[in-house]
Amino acid sequence: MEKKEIEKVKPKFKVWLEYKGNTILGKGGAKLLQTIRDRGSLSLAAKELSISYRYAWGYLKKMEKRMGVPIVSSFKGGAKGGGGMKLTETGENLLRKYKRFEEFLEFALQNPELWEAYGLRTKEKNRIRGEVIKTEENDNAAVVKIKIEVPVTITSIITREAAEELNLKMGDRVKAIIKATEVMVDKKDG
Amino acid sequence: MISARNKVEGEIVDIEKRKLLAKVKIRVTSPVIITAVIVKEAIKEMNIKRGDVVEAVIKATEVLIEK
Repeated sequence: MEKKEIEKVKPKFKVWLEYKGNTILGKGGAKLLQTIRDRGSLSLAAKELSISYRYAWGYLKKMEKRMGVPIVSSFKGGAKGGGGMKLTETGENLLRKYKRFEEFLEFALQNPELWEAYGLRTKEKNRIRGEVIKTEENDNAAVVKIKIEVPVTITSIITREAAEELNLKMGDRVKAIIKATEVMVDKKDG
Repeated sequence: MISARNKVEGEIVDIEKRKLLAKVKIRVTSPVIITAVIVKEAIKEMNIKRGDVVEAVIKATEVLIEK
């Protein structure tokens, strides 16, 4: 497969909420609660989502049974008559919780900068030329001491927060700290 | 030895702040030795020995900064 095609392969995910090992709310459930919230009625919500009233009702009852408390509350009357439905405090909390994690994961997956922050993807690599002045072998590992050619520029990617905390600015004298196990050695052929 | 850290002193010559990350370029002018801990097999495979010219390859996200 070509590299360009691999770029088209996208990560996907599913989030759901569980309570005591039972699924409470997934994508469909969250959509139902959101629509009930927006429309103020179960029949309008079911219609909008193209599901039957009965199915939607059954779905809510199952959620409530698993949670042990009501998730929606129905009321009668109102200005237009016919009554309606709204989310209980638990219902609101569940919907909020679902949306928060869903949005967070969506954001994380759509944000290559974040992948870099977590080291999932690093485009930036430092390649620093130098001369091997010593090699030493232990049981499993080998230690290679490289005298690097200066001047050289080292690029560091840190969080913006860290940069601001350290108040980094142009001209500052700093130390680049690199764990020895994170240094790979490349030797050109010949 | 595994937790050995390299400290390379230099001067910040560029800072590029993005939304979450900051890219900092550090200019190193004084001679410095970088230690690499690699698997023993690698040293044999590549036949690394004293006097070889090599490249130390380091992901930019693995370079921390101390001020």
